[in-house]
Amino acid sequence: MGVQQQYLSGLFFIAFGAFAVWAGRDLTIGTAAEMGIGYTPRALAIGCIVVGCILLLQAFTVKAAEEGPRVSIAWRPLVLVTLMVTAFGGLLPYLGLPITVALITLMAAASGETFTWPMLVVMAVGLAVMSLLLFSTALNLQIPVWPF
Amino acid sequence: MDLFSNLALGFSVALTLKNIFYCFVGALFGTLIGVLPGIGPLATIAMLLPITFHLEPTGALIMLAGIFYGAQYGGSTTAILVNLPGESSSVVTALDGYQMARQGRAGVALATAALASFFAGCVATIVIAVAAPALSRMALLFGPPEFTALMVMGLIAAVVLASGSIVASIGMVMIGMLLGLVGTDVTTGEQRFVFGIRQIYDGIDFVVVAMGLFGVAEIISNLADSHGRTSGSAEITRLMPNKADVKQAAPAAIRGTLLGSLLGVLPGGGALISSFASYSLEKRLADDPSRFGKGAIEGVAGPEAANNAGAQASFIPMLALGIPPNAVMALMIAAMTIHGITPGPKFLSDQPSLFWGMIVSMWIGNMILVILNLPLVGIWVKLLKIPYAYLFPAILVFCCVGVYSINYRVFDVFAMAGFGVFGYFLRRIGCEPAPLVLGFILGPMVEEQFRRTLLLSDGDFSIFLTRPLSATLIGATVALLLLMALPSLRKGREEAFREQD
Repeated sequence: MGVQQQYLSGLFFIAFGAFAVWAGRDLTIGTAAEMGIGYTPRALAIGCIVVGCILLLQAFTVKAAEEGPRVSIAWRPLVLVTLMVTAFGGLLPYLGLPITVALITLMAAASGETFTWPMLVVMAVGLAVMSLLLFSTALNLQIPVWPF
Repeated sequence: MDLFSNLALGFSVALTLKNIFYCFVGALFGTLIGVLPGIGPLATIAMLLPITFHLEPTGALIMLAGIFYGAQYGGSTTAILVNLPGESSSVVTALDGYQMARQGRAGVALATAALASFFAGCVATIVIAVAAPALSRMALLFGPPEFTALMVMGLIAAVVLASGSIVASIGMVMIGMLLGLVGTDVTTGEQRFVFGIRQIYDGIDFVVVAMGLFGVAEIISNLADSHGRTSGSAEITRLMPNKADVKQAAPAAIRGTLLGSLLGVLPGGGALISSFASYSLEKRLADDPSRFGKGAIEGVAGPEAANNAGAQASFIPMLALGIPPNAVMALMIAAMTIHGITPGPKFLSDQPSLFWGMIVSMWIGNMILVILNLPLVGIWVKLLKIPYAYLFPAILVFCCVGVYSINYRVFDVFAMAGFGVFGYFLRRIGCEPAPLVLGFILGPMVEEQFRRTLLLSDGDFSIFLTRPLSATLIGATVALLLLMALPSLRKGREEAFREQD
């Protein structure tokens, strides 16, 4: 773990723990002998906060020479893949399986990977047909198939 | 003896035409998906779950086990051919396997991996058949304090034996447990952390979490990482190892098998730690350690045998105690639950034909893998040459359909997208999501046993230390943590995992 990662993960654990304490504020804590449903969650949430504090402490005490890798986010694949999955969920009930599959396959054009359009279109059609045959016909999953 | 009549029962179940077919399909699809670069066994199993949904429990379990070792094996193939280990347990295989491939011995490396795995699989199957019933008899003596202590030990061991920061991994376990507690509490019927979202009243679906953290997040990472795209792969010429190869590889495979069978049973053990341990053992035993990393055949045979033996041996605590020793087994438990099977001490006595059928099918599956893989290697090589731009939409479609078909609702697909983003961020800030998955499955179990324990003792925590068995387990856990705090050992652990980076 690099120093920057330790900072970020420390903050993340503290935030997560604090959120869990807040979200579970109305749950009965009870006593050890008669635990309420809030007992374990509260203990775990506090545990998260402690872990976060230790990580922050470690980050503060590391010498500059051991800084380690810096955190970078690849926004393009992150946004694209998330969009593809949400598009699948959003379109499936209206367009049915084959059309949805073909559309999200075509979205892969925006990935920045090398591809050719004819090949991608072939892929889209192929995947649409395959998913129809495999999931709907062969496995008999109850998935909407056509838009009508 | 009991063992033989049990195995005979197993053969009578596993050797039906239908079940051999399920085993074959599982191994084939497992390898097919497992071969794809950047997809580990966890993502493979999660992705292929839907194809088992419509089967009856025995067939489904046999197919799942087939998918599991198919995926393991597929990962090794990728590691050898293109130096892209799909999972951490085949990282060490890539070290020497890829070097062999570059020297034109890819075929020999693949055959060695296949045969060593097959040998290990045979031995591990027998180990399971002997150890699982013994362990489940022992488990009948366990009360709530022992189960609590055992699960805590498993979680801590999993954290220590995995790579990465121990503190952060403990945090990931706790986050996983918190997520696992979401939904309606079994004991009181009250709801926790549901925020009025109707779809999570029964808890967050485990498959959604696993698929998001491992399927979707891995695709994002692969797209971001240029390594995911290289596809220069080696030519396959000769397959069979020659006499000198066998002489070097066979003892390594035997040592690897023993090591894997032992380490696989331990809580937190499994394929990963077994393959690392075997590699360093072989390196230490070799006359000329400098050959390692340059295509030493022992460096393929040993770890491959060890990771297969370890992977199969980790079925033992899962089946006998219902406690998953690693994230992949946690997913297997979730998959079995979908089919209405609860692994644990009673599983074996209640459903002997299912249990023994599954054990024997593991052995058959290992044989199918050898028969399947050696001739089909050419196809796997071609598969590896498909550019990622065409591959990842297909993988994504599998993930989406898989998640959708658990409950037939789009909410799960959206939730998977959310966990995908979450998983990617976790990886970027240096937190491996595997411990989270383990905590997710164990969270509710730990809470239930913990609550029962303290109800028994009227709130007195010393009950964990006054019962001998639980005191031993707690002692072992504390010892493990203390050992890791020692600077010299910590350094050793860091070194052992360095080869992975």
